[in-house]
Amino acid sequence: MNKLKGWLALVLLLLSWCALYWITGSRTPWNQFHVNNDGSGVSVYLGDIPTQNYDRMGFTKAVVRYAAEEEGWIVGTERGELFLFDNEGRQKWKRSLGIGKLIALCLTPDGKLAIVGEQSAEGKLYAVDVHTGDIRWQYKSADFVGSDASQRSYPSVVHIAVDKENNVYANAYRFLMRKDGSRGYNAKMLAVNEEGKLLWQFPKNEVIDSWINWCDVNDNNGRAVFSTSAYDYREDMKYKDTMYFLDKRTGELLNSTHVPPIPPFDNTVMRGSPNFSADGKYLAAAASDGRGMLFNEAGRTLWMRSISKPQQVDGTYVNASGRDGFVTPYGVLFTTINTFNRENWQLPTPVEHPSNNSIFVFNTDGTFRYQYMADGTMEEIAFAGRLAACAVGRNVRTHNYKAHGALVLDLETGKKYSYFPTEGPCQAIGISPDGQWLAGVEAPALTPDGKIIGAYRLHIWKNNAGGAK
Amino acid sequence: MSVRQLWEGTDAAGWAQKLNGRTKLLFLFLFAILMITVDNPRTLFILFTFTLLLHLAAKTSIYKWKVMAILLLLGLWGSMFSQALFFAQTPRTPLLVLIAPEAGFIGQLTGGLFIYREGILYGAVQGLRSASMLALGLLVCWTSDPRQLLQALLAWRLPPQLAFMLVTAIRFLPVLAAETGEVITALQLRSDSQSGRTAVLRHLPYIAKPLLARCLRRAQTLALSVVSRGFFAGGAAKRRQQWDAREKASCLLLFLVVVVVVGSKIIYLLSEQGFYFGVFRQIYDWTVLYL
Repeated sequence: MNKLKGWLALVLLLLSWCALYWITGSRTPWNQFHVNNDGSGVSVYLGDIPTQNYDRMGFTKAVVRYAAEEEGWIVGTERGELFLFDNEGRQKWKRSLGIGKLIALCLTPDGKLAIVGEQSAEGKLYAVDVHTGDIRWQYKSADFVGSDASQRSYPSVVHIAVDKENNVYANAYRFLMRKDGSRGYNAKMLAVNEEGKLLWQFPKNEVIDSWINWCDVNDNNGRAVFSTSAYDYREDMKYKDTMYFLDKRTGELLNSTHVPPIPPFDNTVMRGSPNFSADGKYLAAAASDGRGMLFNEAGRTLWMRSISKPQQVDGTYVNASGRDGFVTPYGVLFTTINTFNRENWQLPTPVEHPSNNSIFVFNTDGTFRYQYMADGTMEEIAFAGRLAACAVGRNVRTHNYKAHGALVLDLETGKKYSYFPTEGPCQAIGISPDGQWLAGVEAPALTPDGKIIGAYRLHIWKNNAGGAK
Repeated sequence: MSVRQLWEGTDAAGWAQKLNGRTKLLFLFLFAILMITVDNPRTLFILFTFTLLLHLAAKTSIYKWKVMAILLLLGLWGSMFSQALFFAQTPRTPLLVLIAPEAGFIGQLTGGLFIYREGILYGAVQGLRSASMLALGLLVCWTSDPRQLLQALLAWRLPPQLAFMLVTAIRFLPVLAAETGEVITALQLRSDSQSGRTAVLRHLPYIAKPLLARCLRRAQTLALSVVSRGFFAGGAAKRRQQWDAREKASCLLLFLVVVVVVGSKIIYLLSEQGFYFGVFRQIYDWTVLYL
């Protein structure tokens, strides 16, 4: 009997050796019989981050862009880490850029530099070599808009745009809540060339006393534009207009446009727009009050459409803010986010706004083409030919956790092309120019019933698009 | 095979017995550094397999293989099971629900009990580390005469007293095991019941005194023997064994491997702290993929 036990131990050791070979391999036992046709793709864990409440306003962020030169994905995280992954999810390089959160990312047209914006005590703007991961140059936005650690007022590079000459245009901004409850804003738009030389800053000798969130630049009309995003409107503010147009070479102010607000709003706010058309003739913008607008290159209104009109229900206004605005060859596209209570966005709403979480597409003459409604907020949109990839995140009204994922729309037909679900909200998205590859970053979230869903991870999916162009 | 024989290097292959004690100790030390440094599961598995292959090459007896198998299985699966159940890091993916959180009082009390996918892998990594060191430690133990180790320590200019105590401690383990076996046999034979003749656990509380007495007797004999031979009078340090050049070269090679591995790991860890240099990108890639 003892002899048998000894031999049994040896057999078990042999079996354990086989099991360990299996477990330590790339195709682990739990994936061995798993047929990869459910769109699960490759997923890569991006590290531990604090799990935010599902209903929180400022939620977990990440940025992801396709690096065509490297045939991979540049990913920036809340941990201040920048990665390059290939399409199989293998890490090509990783570098830590500090303790800040990486919140803006843009690749130069030649694909050689990744321009990264962070939110931190210094709010740095980095240019990183896509091939090696080396920092080519960096600027501290704190040097331009200041920083006040005692008030927890930290600068951020909130948005970056690049032109065809690889010049970088970035919005630097910081917000300050004063002791008397009033809000202060310090903002500047910076232009830097690919060698890291500061071309100009706007304004030159002061800061913009409003929140600026978005900017765009166009080579055909030679203009750079930024929009203001402050909800509060005071007569003593200097930068009260909605959009400011600058000469992209000199940074001189060419003109500005004021879009009159509509009730119940005090100001017209643009958070994820405007964006020029490729030819530079048009400019599309969505306002938080639910209007989609098309302007000419100088900011003259061509048409304006109400895509989600604020509705008064039980004495309070319920609205679904407009956010993105793009001019594509397949139409002018606007998006709306979750339904919110105008009085306080955290308060519940009796109903969902019928236009929330949607994409609206119009022809350039203003005729309506279609609306596509997702089950959650489209956190980000990326384009590849006729495909629009949308990161579908939270729906804080319905708490529909099955809504999360990457949604690909066919802009020509307005129909769903493909869908890749994620457990947690999908917060960022990127698509390869041929539409074959898709990458999204999922964030963990703490649901109101105390359950953690999802994790901070990158997903890479094969889209099987074919004919995206 | 007696308990004492089990822990002594008596039946190993000739080449393993002939190896210089310095080679064995250095190899053990460098391998330990590798085990701590490497995190990649597949690389750890390969290193573990390497230690088993060394046992095969050293012709470890089947009886010793059986004993080693039991020890390795306990370590490996213990680590994997415990981590699979109590893995606390994120992300963690439940593979199996043992107790659902909704399962009545126990469910509420425990918050649910799951087998976590990531925990199994984490446990395997930790288990492989300890299993590799255990296997290599046993190999050194089973192929070495204590004199080899003593000479190695003396060659490294360790004070003879210290070296002697160290080796005696190692040497005493099999002796202690054999003595324990004998004491238990004596207690079994003295037992007045049939069940007591075969039981082991019930005699354990009574082994301390006789074991201590035997140990003291042995220690006294050993002390007399050492003093009468003039071990510490300087003679011990002079009797040095020649260190073969090939063995030296092998140790140097392993040392270089360890330096490269540790260096790569340090460079990678520094890159994570912001000290990143593009010229090291291949090293970063290599470290991530294989270390």
